[in-house]
Amino acid sequence: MSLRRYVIKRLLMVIPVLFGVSVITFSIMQLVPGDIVDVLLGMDPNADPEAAERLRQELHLDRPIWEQYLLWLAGVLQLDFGFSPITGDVSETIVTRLPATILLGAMGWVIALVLAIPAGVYAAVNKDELADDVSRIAALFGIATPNFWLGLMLLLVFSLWLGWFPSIPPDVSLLHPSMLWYLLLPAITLGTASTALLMRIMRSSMVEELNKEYVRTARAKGLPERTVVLKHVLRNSLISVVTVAALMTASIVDGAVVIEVVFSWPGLGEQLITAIGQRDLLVVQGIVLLVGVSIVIANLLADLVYAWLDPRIRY
Amino acid sequence: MSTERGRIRITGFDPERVEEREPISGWTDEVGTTKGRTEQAWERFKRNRSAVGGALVIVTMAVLAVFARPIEVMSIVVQPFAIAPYDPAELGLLQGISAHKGPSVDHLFGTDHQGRDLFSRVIYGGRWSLSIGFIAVALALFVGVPLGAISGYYGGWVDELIMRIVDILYAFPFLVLALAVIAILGRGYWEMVLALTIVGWISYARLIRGEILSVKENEYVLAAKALGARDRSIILKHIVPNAMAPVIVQATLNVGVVVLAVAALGFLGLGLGPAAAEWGTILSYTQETIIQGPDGAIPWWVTVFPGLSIVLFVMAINLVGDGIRDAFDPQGETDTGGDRGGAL
Repeated sequence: MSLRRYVIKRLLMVIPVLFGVSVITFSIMQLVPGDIVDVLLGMDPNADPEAAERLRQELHLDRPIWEQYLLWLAGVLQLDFGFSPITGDVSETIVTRLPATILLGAMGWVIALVLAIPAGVYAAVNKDELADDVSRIAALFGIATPNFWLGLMLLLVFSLWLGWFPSIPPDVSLLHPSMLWYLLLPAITLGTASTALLMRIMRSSMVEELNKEYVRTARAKGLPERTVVLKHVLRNSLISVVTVAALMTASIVDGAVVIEVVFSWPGLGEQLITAIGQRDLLVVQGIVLLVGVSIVIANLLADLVYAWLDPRIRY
Repeated sequence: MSTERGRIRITGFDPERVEEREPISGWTDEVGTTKGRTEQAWERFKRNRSAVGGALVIVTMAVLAVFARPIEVMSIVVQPFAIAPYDPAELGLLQGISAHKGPSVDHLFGTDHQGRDLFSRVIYGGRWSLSIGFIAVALALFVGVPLGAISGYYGGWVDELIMRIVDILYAFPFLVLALAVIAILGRGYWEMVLALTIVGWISYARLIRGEILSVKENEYVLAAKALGARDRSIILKHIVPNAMAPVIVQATLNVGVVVLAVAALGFLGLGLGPAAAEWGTILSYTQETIIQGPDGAIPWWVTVFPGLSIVLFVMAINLVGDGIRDAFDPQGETDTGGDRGGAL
């Protein structure tokens, strides 16, 4: 199958998944026990009946359920996620919160890659030696340590004890140097969480490549070991790491939700938790939909990049 | 000469000559001379020191949690022992025990912001995390394994349907999906179990489907079909037992993932009620202490000990999981890899 046909097929496969994601997100509001309007108005018996009536109109609750879904979907496609009685326009809330999360996620991602790739390569080259054992134990710690606890410990040591960082974000714009300095701790927390897994995958992918015939040929030619590892083996084993790095998006999002709460970081994750606590379901719905769609797109990109990097891969 | 074995009738051979033949290998058909696969795996597991160590840690923590305080079922005392030196819910402040007291002989792990004994709370807290961890994984297996088995064995539109549902649920990260379920149901013990089951079954369904696709190509499945065995008994007796090893490994590792998720939900204030001694819930109060800044000495013990108990448990369960994988598959052929959620 040519690359073009593969891309088209892969793009078409996204459509049913996106449809399913939208149905699941839509059903959050339908599955809540009790009258949704009462829930959205905070179960307040003194709530303005006019507000309740307006909400009922906005959610089209007088229509059959499939019409409700289509009207909701039409709104969502125009980036209209509804109007929450608690926090106002949902799209606006998301847009103001999104940059902080993207910044945190991107920084965490970079930290994960920068730590994991060299560590994985080093462990693979020194397979079954001390460095490999150390990396195995470090990975075990990485997997077993709760993200939020690592964040709390870093806050305890670096903010409270050493006083290097403030314990809540400074009240300045997102790209202000003191904000970026504050971001360092949450980004390290987020990045190291994914490092463990990524490092082990990098290692096993490297070990597999190192056993291949072309490596023996390269060594037999008398190439220095450095060239063999960095030029030949690393490039080939990075292919599988690319996929995993894209699949990491899901765990980065999960991590960000919790870490934003630990560090009072004004992102989408913190908003999601606040919204669940306040039963602000329109916001919950908007954020969950955004997350689902982003993950689908990230996985799509991973597959496409994989297919582009490795011409042998066609399904 | 003929003989009958099951439904197969074998004719036209001389049993005397077969008996006299030189054995090609050391195999005999005496019962008990060969060990079953499970037995062999157990032998290998016992020799794996880190896995046995992990298992001991888990058993110790479970025993501590169960015997921390007496258990009553309908006002009958089922379990009378109390290892915990204090009642985990007792507010020490009312008894003249000061809040945020550092670790001492009286209070091994110190006291929290309400003067409660942290050691008692931590060992008692194991009840929540451990029970939810094991129950949620068991329920998820109960849903995921049959659906994955049906999907892999029958293929066709059933397979398409189940796997599309799995794909769609996989579009949501583990914790976000659990949070969505809790947003619908509200918080609580069984709400959390349900949320983690809904999130958890998909990984087993996908895993066992893949295993079954390869196992069902084996000759013994064809043989069973040729003998007229029913689909149900082929799946249950021949295919599933041969496909279960990676699922068991994944399930063991997932107990750790679920325990981490329970702690995260507790920390976020969306797990159990604020009075519960669950590890994550305990930690959610330490964050306030950190943000408010220290008044006097830094109460580090409130953060360190509950977190360490989570790390210890999850690490132990990972060692056991790795041990089971090595026991079933000593050459390391299958790689169940780290499924999602490993970075919580």
